[in-house]
Amino acid sequence: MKLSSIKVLVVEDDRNVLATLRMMLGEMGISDIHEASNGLEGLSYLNEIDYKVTFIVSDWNMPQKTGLEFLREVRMVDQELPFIMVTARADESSVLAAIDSDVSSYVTKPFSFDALKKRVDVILAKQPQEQEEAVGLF
Amino acid sequence: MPSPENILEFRSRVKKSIAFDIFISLLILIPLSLVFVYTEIFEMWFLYTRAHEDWELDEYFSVFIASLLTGTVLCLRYIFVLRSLIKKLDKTNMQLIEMRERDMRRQKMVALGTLAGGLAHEINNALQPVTGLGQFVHRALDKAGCSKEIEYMNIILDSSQKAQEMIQNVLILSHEKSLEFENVNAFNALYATIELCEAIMPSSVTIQKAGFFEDSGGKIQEAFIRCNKTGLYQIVFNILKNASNAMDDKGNIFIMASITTFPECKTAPAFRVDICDEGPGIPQEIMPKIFDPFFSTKDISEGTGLGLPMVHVLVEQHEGEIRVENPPGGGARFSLYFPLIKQNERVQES
Repeated sequence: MKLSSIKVLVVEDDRNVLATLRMMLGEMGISDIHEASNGLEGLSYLNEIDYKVTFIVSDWNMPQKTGLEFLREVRMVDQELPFIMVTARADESSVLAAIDSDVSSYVTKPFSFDALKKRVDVILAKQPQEQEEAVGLF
Repeated sequence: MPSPENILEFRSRVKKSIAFDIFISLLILIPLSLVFVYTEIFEMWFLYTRAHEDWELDEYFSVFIASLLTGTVLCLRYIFVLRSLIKKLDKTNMQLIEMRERDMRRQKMVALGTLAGGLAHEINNALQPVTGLGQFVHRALDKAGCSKEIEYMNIILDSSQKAQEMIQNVLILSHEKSLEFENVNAFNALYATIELCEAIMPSSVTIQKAGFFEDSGGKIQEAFIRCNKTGLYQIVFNILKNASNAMDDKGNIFIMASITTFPECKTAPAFRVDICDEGPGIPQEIMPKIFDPFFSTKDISEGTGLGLPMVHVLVEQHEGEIRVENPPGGGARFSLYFPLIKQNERVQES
Protein backbone atom coordinates (compact mmCIF):
# COMPACT_ATOMS: atom_id res chain seq x y z
CA MET A 1 0.00 0.00 0.00
CA LYS A 2 1.38 3.39 -0.97
CA LEU A 3 2.47 5.38 2.07
CA SER A 4 1.13 8.60 0.62
CA SER A 5 -2.39 7.19 0.39
CA ILE A 6 -2.51 6.27 4.04
CA LYS A 7 -4.82 8.44 6.10
CA VAL A 8 -4.78 8.14 9.88
CA LEU A 9 -7.02 9.49 12.62
CA VAL A 10 -5.25 10.02 15.97
CA VAL A 11 -7.43 10.64 19.00
CA GLU A 12 -5.58 11.71 22.16
CA ASP A 13 -6.25 14.39 24.76
CA ASP A 14 -2.65 14.98 25.90
CA ARG A 15 -1.10 17.35 23.36
CA ASN A 16 2.45 16.13 23.91
CA VAL A 17 1.45 12.51 23.36
CA LEU A 18 -0.54 13.62 20.32
CA ALA A 19 2.52 15.39 18.91
CA THR A 20 4.66 12.33 19.71
CA LEU A 21 2.25 10.06 17.86
CA ARG A 22 2.28 12.40 14.87
CA MET A 23 6.08 12.38 14.82
CA MET A 24 6.34 8.63 15.28
CA LEU A 25 3.92 8.01 12.42
CA GLY A 26 5.95 10.56 10.46
CA GLU A 27 9.05 8.46 11.00
CA MET A 28 7.13 5.57 9.46
CA GLY A 29 6.45 7.68 6.38
CA ILE A 30 2.83 8.48 7.24
CA SER A 31 2.06 12.18 6.94
CA ASP A 32 -1.67 12.42 6.31
CA ILE A 33 -2.73 12.52 9.96
CA HIS A 34 -5.85 14.08 11.38
CA GLU A 35 -5.72 14.86 15.08
CA ALA A 36 -8.68 14.88 17.46
CA SER A 37 -8.54 15.52 21.18
CA ASN A 38 -11.46 13.36 22.24
CA GLY A 39 -13.93 10.73 21.03
CA LEU A 40 -16.61 13.22 20.08
CA GLU A 41 -14.28 15.17 17.79
CA GLY A 42 -13.07 11.89 16.36
CA LEU A 43 -16.59 10.72 15.58
CA SER A 44 -17.65 13.98 13.96
CA TYR A 45 -14.53 13.89 11.75
CA LEU A 46 -15.22 10.30 10.77
CA ASN A 47 -18.77 11.17 9.83
CA GLU A 48 -17.50 14.12 7.76
CA ILE A 49 -15.20 11.94 5.71
CA ASP A 50 -17.53 8.96 5.68
CA TYR A 51 -15.16 6.78 7.75
CA LYS A 52 -12.59 6.78 4.96
CA VAL A 53 -9.44 6.43 7.05
CA THR A 54 -6.83 3.69 6.81
CA PHE A 55 -6.67 3.19 10.54
CA ILE A 56 -7.36 4.87 13.88
CA VAL A 57 -5.07 5.29 16.88
CA SER A 58 -6.94 6.22 20.02
CA ASP A 59 -6.20 6.80 23.69
CA TRP A 60 -8.22 4.95 26.32
CA ASN A 61 -8.72 7.63 28.96
CA MET A 62 -10.32 10.72 27.47
CA PRO A 63 -12.87 13.29 28.60
CA GLN A 64 -16.41 13.35 27.19
CA LYS A 65 -16.09 10.01 25.46
CA THR A 66 -13.67 7.30 26.50
CA GLY A 67 -11.59 5.33 24.05
CA LEU A 68 -13.71 2.26 24.68
CA GLU A 69 -16.95 4.11 23.95
CA PHE A 70 -15.37 5.62 20.84
CA LEU A 71 -14.29 2.14 19.69
CA ARG A 72 -17.77 0.76 20.19
CA GLU A 73 -19.40 3.57 18.21
CA VAL A 74 -16.92 3.15 15.36
CA ARG A 75 -17.61 -0.57 15.34
CA MET A 76 -21.31 0.08 14.99
CA VAL A 77 -20.60 1.69 11.63
CA ASP A 78 -17.52 -0.17 10.44
CA GLN A 79 -16.51 -3.57 11.82
CA GLU A 80 -13.35 -3.80 9.74
CA LEU A 81 -11.73 -0.43 10.33
CA PRO A 82 -8.34 -1.10 12.00
CA PHE A 83 -8.25 0.40 15.49
CA ILE A 84 -5.19 0.64 17.72
CA MET A 85 -5.96 1.36 21.39
CA VAL A 86 -3.30 3.18 23.40
CA THR A 87 -3.50 3.05 27.14
CA ALA A 88 -1.62 3.22 30.42
CA ARG A 89 -3.78 0.46 31.91
CA ALA A 90 -2.54 -3.04 31.18
CA ASP A 91 -4.80 -4.92 33.55
CA GLU A 92 -6.79 -7.88 32.28
CA SER A 93 -10.25 -6.38 32.49
CA SER A 94 -9.34 -3.41 30.27
CA VAL A 95 -7.70 -5.61 27.66
CA LEU A 96 -10.65 -8.00 27.67
CA ALA A 97 -13.13 -5.14 27.33
CA ALA A 98 -11.23 -3.79 24.34
CA ILE A 99 -10.95 -7.24 22.75
CA ASP A 100 -14.64 -7.84 23.35
CA SER A 101 -15.36 -4.68 21.40
CA ASP A 102 -13.22 -5.86 18.48
CA VAL A 103 -10.16 -3.70 18.90
CA SER A 104 -7.54 -4.60 16.29
CA SER A 105 -4.47 -3.90 18.34
CA TYR A 106 -3.35 -2.73 21.76
CA VAL A 107 -0.29 -0.91 23.05
CA THR A 108 0.48 0.32 26.55
CA LYS A 109 1.99 3.67 27.41
CA PRO A 110 4.74 4.58 27.34
CA PHE A 111 5.50 2.55 24.23
CA SER A 112 8.60 2.59 22.08
CA PHE A 113 8.71 3.44 18.42
CA ASP A 114 9.29 -0.20 17.55
CA ALA A 115 6.20 -1.30 19.48
CA LEU A 116 4.00 1.06 17.51
CA LYS A 117 5.69 0.31 14.19
CA LYS A 118 5.15 -3.43 14.63
CA ARG A 119 1.44 -2.95 15.10
CA VAL A 120 1.12 -0.49 12.23
CA ASP A 121 3.01 -2.88 9.95
CA VAL A 122 0.59 -5.68 10.83
CA ILE A 123 -2.37 -3.45 10.01
CA LEU A 124 -0.88 -2.21 6.74
CA ALA A 125 -0.01 -5.74 5.67
CA LYS A 126 -3.69 -6.67 6.00
CA GLN A 127 -4.83 -3.76 3.86
CA PRO A 128 -6.48 -4.74 0.54
CA GLN A 129 -4.34 -3.82 -2.46
CA GLU A 130 -7.33 -2.38 -4.42
CA GLN A 131 -5.80 1.03 -5.10
CA GLU A 132 -2.84 -0.38 -6.91
CA GLU A 133 -5.01 -2.77 -8.89
CA ALA A 134 -7.31 0.10 -9.82
CA VAL A 135 -4.28 2.07 -11.04
CA GLY A 136 -3.13 -1.00 -12.94
CA LEU A 137 -6.49 -1.32 -14.74
CA PHE A 138 -6.20 2.12 -16.24
CA MET B 1 -13.69 6.98 73.76
CA PRO B 2 -10.93 7.16 76.36
CA SER B 3 -7.50 7.14 74.77
CA PRO B 4 -4.60 5.02 76.08
CA GLU B 5 -3.06 8.06 77.73
CA ASN B 6 -6.24 8.54 79.79
CA ILE B 7 -6.37 4.88 80.82
CA LEU B 8 -2.76 4.86 81.95
CA GLU B 9 -3.32 8.10 83.82
CA PHE B 10 -6.46 6.71 85.37
CA ARG B 11 -4.68 3.52 86.48
CA SER B 12 -1.84 5.44 88.05
CA ARG B 13 -4.29 7.77 89.78
CA VAL B 14 -6.16 4.79 91.24
CA LYS B 15 -2.87 3.29 92.43
CA LYS B 16 -1.89 6.63 93.95
CA SER B 17 -5.19 7.02 95.78
CA ILE B 18 -5.01 3.46 97.17
CA ALA B 19 -1.51 4.15 98.44
CA PHE B 20 -2.71 7.40 99.95
CA ASP B 21 -5.66 5.66 101.64
CA ILE B 22 -3.38 3.01 103.16
CA PHE B 23 -1.01 5.72 104.37
CA ILE B 24 -3.79 7.72 106.02
CA SER B 25 -5.27 4.58 107.60
CA LEU B 26 -1.90 3.62 109.07
CA LEU B 27 -1.43 7.21 110.21
CA ILE B 28 -4.68 6.89 112.16
CA LEU B 29 -4.51 3.24 113.23
CA ILE B 30 -0.96 3.09 114.61
CA PRO B 31 -1.26 5.99 117.04
CA LEU B 32 -4.80 4.89 117.91
CA SER B 33 -3.58 1.37 118.74
CA LEU B 34 -0.79 2.81 120.86
CA VAL B 35 -3.32 5.00 122.69
CA PHE B 36 -5.52 1.96 123.31
CA VAL B 37 -2.58 -0.05 124.64
CA TYR B 38 -1.14 2.58 126.91
CA THR B 39 -4.38 4.03 128.29
CA GLU B 40 -5.94 0.60 128.82
CA ILE B 41 -9.23 1.82 127.33
CA PHE B 42 -10.17 -1.74 126.55
CA GLU B 43 -9.81 -2.86 130.17
CA MET B 44 -11.96 0.05 131.32
CA TRP B 45 -14.59 -0.81 128.70
CA PHE B 46 -14.54 -4.44 129.82
CA LEU B 47 -15.07 -3.49 133.50
CA TYR B 48 -17.83 -1.06 132.54
CA THR B 49 -19.77 -3.69 130.59
CA ARG B 50 -19.37 -6.17 133.45
CA ALA B 51 -20.76 -3.53 135.77
CA HIS B 52 -23.83 -2.99 133.52
CA GLU B 53 -24.60 -6.52 132.39
CA ASP B 54 -28.33 -5.89 131.92
CA TRP B 55 -27.55 -3.14 129.36
CA GLU B 56 -26.21 -5.93 127.12
CA LEU B 57 -23.45 -3.63 125.95
CA ASP B 58 -21.09 -6.44 125.01
CA GLU B 59 -23.80 -8.02 122.84
CA TYR B 60 -24.38 -4.77 120.99
CA PHE B 61 -20.65 -4.34 120.68
CA SER B 62 -20.28 -7.83 119.18
CA VAL B 63 -23.01 -7.11 116.65
CA PHE B 64 -21.29 -3.84 115.83
CA ILE B 65 -17.97 -5.65 115.22
CA ALA B 66 -19.73 -8.33 113.19
CA SER B 67 -21.40 -5.72 110.95
CA LEU B 68 -18.07 -3.96 110.53
CA LEU B 69 -16.48 -7.23 109.38
CA THR B 70 -19.37 -8.04 107.04
CA GLY B 71 -19.20 -4.54 105.62
CA THR B 72 -15.47 -4.87 105.04
CA VAL B 73 -15.87 -8.20 103.29
CA LEU B 74 -18.62 -6.81 101.07
CA CYS B 75 -16.50 -3.78 100.26
CA LEU B 76 -13.49 -5.88 99.34
CA ARG B 77 -15.67 -8.07 97.16
CA TYR B 78 -17.03 -4.98 95.36
CA ILE B 79 -13.53 -3.60 94.86
CA PHE B 80 -12.31 -6.82 93.23
CA VAL B 81 -15.32 -6.89 90.92
CA LEU B 82 -14.58 -3.31 89.91
CA ARG B 83 -10.93 -4.20 89.37
CA SER B 84 -11.70 -7.02 86.94
CA LEU B 85 -14.24 -4.83 85.14
CA ILE B 86 -11.62 -2.16 84.65
CA LYS B 87 -9.16 -4.73 83.35
CA LYS B 88 -11.69 -6.00 80.84
CA LEU B 89 -12.53 -2.47 79.73
CA ASP B 90 -8.83 -1.77 79.34
CA LYS B 91 -8.33 -4.77 77.08
CA THR B 92 -11.38 -4.00 74.95
CA ASN B 93 -10.29 -0.41 74.64
CA MET B 94 -6.81 -1.40 73.47
CA GLN B 95 -8.30 -3.77 70.91
CA LEU B 96 -10.65 -1.09 69.63
CA ILE B 97 -7.80 1.38 69.28
CA GLU B 98 -5.72 -1.18 67.40
CA MET B 99 -8.62 -1.94 65.10
CA ARG B 100 -9.24 1.73 64.48
CA GLU B 101 -5.59 2.32 63.64
CA ARG B 102 -5.61 -0.62 61.23
CA ASP B 103 -8.75 0.70 59.62
CA MET B 104 -7.26 4.16 59.22
CA ARG B 105 -4.13 2.65 57.71
CA ARG B 106 -6.22 0.69 55.25
CA GLN B 107 -8.22 3.77 54.30
CA LYS B 108 -5.03 5.71 53.84
CA MET B 109 -3.71 2.98 51.56
CA VAL B 110 -6.87 3.04 49.48
CA ALA B 111 -6.78 6.82 49.16
CA LEU B 112 -3.08 6.76 48.33
CA GLY B 113 -3.77 4.00 45.87
CA THR B 114 -6.33 6.06 44.00
CA LEU B 115 -4.03 9.06 43.98
CA ALA B 116 -1.10 6.95 42.88
CA GLY B 117 -3.12 5.34 40.10
CA GLY B 118 -4.15 8.69 38.67
CA LEU B 119 -0.67 10.11 39.01
CA ALA B 120 0.90 7.04 37.40
CA HIS B 121 -1.37 7.45 34.41
CA GLU B 122 -0.39 11.08 33.96
CA ILE B 123 3.30 10.31 34.32
CA ASN B 124 3.06 7.52 31.75
CA ASN B 125 1.62 10.11 29.39
CA ALA B 126 4.44 12.49 30.16
CA LEU B 127 7.04 9.76 29.55
CA GLN B 128 5.64 8.90 26.13
CA PRO B 129 7.62 11.51 24.14
CA VAL B 130 10.86 10.38 25.79
CA THR B 131 10.24 6.70 25.11
CA GLY B 132 8.78 7.27 21.68
CA LEU B 133 11.13 9.86 20.24
CA GLY B 134 14.27 9.58 22.29
CA GLN B 135 15.88 7.04 20.04
CA PHE B 136 15.59 9.34 17.04
CA VAL B 137 17.44 12.09 18.86
CA HIS B 138 20.01 9.51 19.88
CA ARG B 139 20.34 8.38 16.28
CA ALA B 140 20.76 11.95 15.01
CA LEU B 141 23.35 12.74 17.65
CA ASP B 142 25.16 9.55 16.71
CA LYS B 143 25.15 10.54 13.04
CA ALA B 144 26.39 14.03 13.89
CA GLY B 145 29.13 12.57 16.05
CA CYS B 146 28.10 14.44 19.22
CA SER B 147 29.64 11.97 21.63
CA LYS B 148 29.11 14.21 24.66
CA GLU B 149 25.45 14.79 23.82
CA ILE B 150 24.95 11.07 23.25
CA GLU B 151 26.11 10.49 26.81
CA TYR B 152 23.53 13.02 27.99
CA MET B 153 20.86 11.28 25.94
CA ASN B 154 21.81 7.88 27.39
CA ILE B 155 21.34 9.25 30.89
CA ILE B 156 18.00 10.79 29.90
CA LEU B 157 16.73 7.54 28.39
CA ASP B 158 18.03 5.51 31.34
CA SER B 159 16.34 7.80 33.81
CA SER B 160 13.03 7.59 32.01
CA GLN B 161 13.35 3.81 32.06
CA LYS B 162 13.78 3.99 35.84
CA ALA B 163 10.71 6.22 36.08
CA GLN B 164 8.76 3.64 34.11
CA GLU B 165 9.75 0.86 36.51
CA MET B 166 8.81 3.02 39.47
CA ILE B 167 5.37 3.57 37.95
CA GLN B 168 4.93 -0.18 37.51
CA ASN B 169 5.63 -0.72 41.22
CA VAL B 170 3.28 2.07 42.22
CA LEU B 171 0.54 0.63 40.03
CA ILE B 172 0.84 -2.64 41.94
CA LEU B 173 0.29 -0.67 45.13
CA SER B 174 -2.81 0.99 43.76
CA HIS B 175 -4.36 -2.37 42.84
CA GLU B 176 -4.16 -1.49 39.19
CA LYS B 177 -2.52 -4.83 38.45
CA SER B 178 -4.85 -7.74 39.22
CA LEU B 179 -3.34 -11.09 40.17
CA GLU B 180 -4.23 -14.60 39.11
CA PHE B 181 -4.63 -17.12 41.90
CA GLU B 182 -4.32 -20.87 42.15
CA ASN B 183 -4.78 -23.43 44.93
CA VAL B 184 -1.37 -24.48 46.22
CA ASN B 185 0.03 -26.45 49.13
CA ALA B 186 1.23 -23.60 51.31
CA PHE B 187 4.14 -25.54 52.81
CA ASN B 188 5.52 -26.49 49.41
CA ALA B 189 5.00 -23.03 47.98
CA LEU B 190 6.71 -21.40 50.95
CA TYR B 191 9.60 -23.85 50.82
CA ALA B 192 10.16 -23.18 47.11
CA THR B 193 9.92 -19.44 47.68
CA ILE B 194 12.52 -19.55 50.46
CA GLU B 195 14.89 -21.55 48.25
CA LEU B 196 14.59 -18.88 45.55
CA CYS B 197 15.20 -16.11 48.07
CA GLU B 198 18.16 -17.90 49.65
CA ALA B 199 19.89 -17.90 46.28
CA ILE B 200 19.75 -14.12 46.09
CA MET B 201 20.35 -13.20 49.72
CA PRO B 202 23.91 -12.38 50.83
CA SER B 203 25.81 -15.46 51.96
CA SER B 204 26.51 -13.91 55.35
CA VAL B 205 22.84 -14.24 56.17
CA THR B 206 21.51 -17.68 57.11
CA ILE B 207 17.86 -18.58 56.86
CA GLN B 208 16.69 -21.14 59.40
CA LYS B 209 13.45 -22.94 58.62
CA ALA B 210 11.17 -24.53 61.19
CA GLY B 211 7.72 -26.02 61.26
CA PHE B 212 7.82 -27.62 57.84
CA PHE B 213 7.72 -31.15 59.16
CA GLU B 214 6.18 -32.67 62.26
CA ASP B 215 8.69 -33.52 64.99
CA SER B 216 8.91 -37.29 64.89
CA GLY B 217 8.20 -39.56 61.95
CA GLY B 218 8.37 -36.63 59.51
CA LYS B 219 4.69 -36.13 58.79
CA ILE B 220 4.50 -33.62 55.96
CA GLN B 221 1.56 -31.36 56.38
CA GLU B 222 -0.58 -30.12 53.58
CA ALA B 223 -2.36 -26.83 53.86
CA PHE B 224 -4.00 -25.35 50.83
CA ILE B 225 -4.29 -21.64 50.22
CA ARG B 226 -5.24 -19.48 47.26
CA CYS B 227 -2.02 -17.95 46.21
CA ASN B 228 -0.20 -16.16 43.43
CA LYS B 229 3.30 -17.67 43.45
CA THR B 230 4.99 -14.51 42.18
CA GLY B 231 3.10 -12.52 44.79
CA LEU B 232 4.18 -14.90 47.54
CA TYR B 233 7.77 -14.63 46.35
CA GLN B 234 7.59 -10.82 46.44
CA ILE B 235 6.08 -10.88 49.94
CA VAL B 236 8.73 -13.18 51.39
CA PHE B 237 11.61 -11.60 49.50
CA ASN B 238 10.77 -8.05 50.57
CA ILE B 239 10.41 -9.04 54.22
CA LEU B 240 13.68 -10.98 54.07
CA LYS B 241 15.45 -8.05 52.42
CA ASN B 242 14.14 -5.75 55.14
CA ALA B 243 15.26 -8.17 57.85
CA SER B 244 18.68 -8.59 56.29
CA ASN B 245 19.15 -4.82 56.08
CA ALA B 246 18.19 -4.47 59.74
CA MET B 247 20.94 -6.95 60.65
CA ASP B 248 23.54 -5.27 58.40
CA ASP B 249 23.42 -8.38 56.17
CA LYS B 250 24.90 -10.62 58.89
CA GLY B 251 23.20 -13.19 61.07
CA ASN B 252 20.21 -15.51 61.14
CA ILE B 253 16.66 -15.10 59.99
CA PHE B 254 14.14 -17.61 61.34
CA ILE B 255 11.14 -18.64 59.29
CA MET B 256 8.40 -20.73 60.89
CA ALA B 257 5.30 -22.11 59.26
CA SER B 258 2.29 -23.40 61.12
CA ILE B 259 -1.41 -24.05 60.87
CA THR B 260 -3.44 -21.94 63.26
CA THR B 261 -6.25 -19.40 63.19
CA PHE B 262 -6.48 -15.75 62.35
CA PRO B 263 -5.48 -13.52 65.27
CA GLU B 264 -8.81 -11.70 65.56
CA CYS B 265 -11.11 -14.52 64.46
CA LYS B 266 -10.52 -17.82 66.25
CA THR B 267 -12.90 -19.70 63.96
CA ALA B 268 -11.06 -18.87 60.73
CA PRO B 269 -8.24 -21.36 60.03
CA ALA B 270 -5.04 -19.84 58.70
CA PHE B 271 -1.63 -20.76 57.42
CA ARG B 272 0.78 -18.73 59.46
CA VAL B 273 4.31 -17.71 58.52
CA ASP B 274 6.59 -16.01 61.04
CA ILE B 275 9.76 -14.32 59.90
CA CYS B 276 12.04 -13.21 62.75
CA ASP B 277 15.35 -11.42 62.50
CA GLU B 278 18.20 -10.71 64.90
CA GLY B 279 18.21 -7.00 64.22
CA PRO B 280 17.49 -4.17 66.66
CA GLY B 281 13.74 -4.42 66.19
CA ILE B 282 11.42 -1.70 64.95
CA PRO B 283 11.20 1.44 67.12
CA GLN B 284 7.70 1.96 68.50
CA GLU B 285 7.33 5.41 66.95
CA ILE B 286 7.82 4.22 63.37
CA MET B 287 5.73 1.05 63.73
CA PRO B 288 2.58 2.66 62.29
CA LYS B 289 4.56 4.05 59.35
CA ILE B 290 6.42 1.04 58.03
CA PHE B 291 3.73 0.22 55.47
CA ASP B 292 3.48 3.79 54.22
CA PRO B 293 4.59 4.13 50.59
CA PHE B 294 7.97 5.80 50.16
CA PHE B 295 8.62 5.79 53.93
CA SER B 296 12.14 4.56 54.40
CA THR B 297 14.77 4.74 57.10
CA LYS B 298 17.42 3.95 54.51
CA ASP B 299 19.41 6.15 52.20
CA ILE B 300 17.46 7.24 49.12
CA SER B 301 19.78 5.32 46.80
CA GLU B 302 19.28 2.05 48.65
CA GLY B 303 15.61 1.55 48.09
CA THR B 304 12.37 3.01 46.92
CA GLY B 305 10.47 2.63 50.18
CA LEU B 306 7.95 0.56 48.26
CA GLY B 307 8.97 -2.91 49.50
CA LEU B 308 6.85 -3.19 52.65
CA PRO B 309 3.83 -1.30 51.24
CA MET B 310 3.88 -3.76 48.36
CA VAL B 311 3.97 -6.63 50.88
CA HIS B 312 0.94 -5.16 52.65
CA VAL B 313 -1.03 -4.79 49.42
CA LEU B 314 -0.08 -8.28 48.23
CA VAL B 315 -1.07 -9.85 51.55
CA GLU B 316 -4.43 -8.08 51.34
CA GLN B 317 -4.91 -9.27 47.78
CA HIS B 318 -4.41 -12.79 49.14
CA GLU B 319 -7.13 -12.01 51.71
CA GLY B 320 -4.56 -12.48 54.44
CA GLU B 321 -3.32 -10.43 57.34
CA ILE B 322 0.05 -9.20 58.48
CA ARG B 323 1.24 -8.38 61.98
CA VAL B 324 4.53 -6.85 63.08
CA GLU B 325 5.95 -7.13 66.57
CA ASN B 326 9.17 -6.83 68.50
CA PRO B 327 9.20 -10.22 70.27
CA PRO B 328 10.71 -10.46 73.75
CA GLY B 329 13.80 -12.26 72.37
CA GLY B 330 14.79 -9.20 70.33
CA GLY B 331 14.64 -8.30 66.66
CA ALA B 332 11.43 -7.91 64.70
CA ARG B 333 8.82 -10.52 63.79
CA PHE B 334 6.57 -10.34 60.74
CA SER B 335 3.60 -12.71 61.01
CA LEU B 336 1.64 -13.51 57.86
CA TYR B 337 -1.75 -15.21 57.93
CA PHE B 338 -3.31 -16.76 54.82
CA PRO B 339 -6.83 -18.25 54.82
CA LEU B 340 -6.83 -22.06 54.55
CA ILE B 341 -9.01 -23.75 52.00
CA LYS B 342 -8.54 -27.42 52.84
CA GLN B 343 -6.22 -29.28 55.16
CA ASN B 344 -5.21 -32.93 55.48
CA GLU B 345 -2.17 -34.78 56.72
CA ARG B 346 -0.16 -37.33 54.87
CA VAL B 347 2.20 -39.67 56.68
CA GLN B 348 5.58 -39.79 54.99
CA GLU B 349 6.96 -43.17 54.10
CA SER B 350 10.09 -43.52 56.24
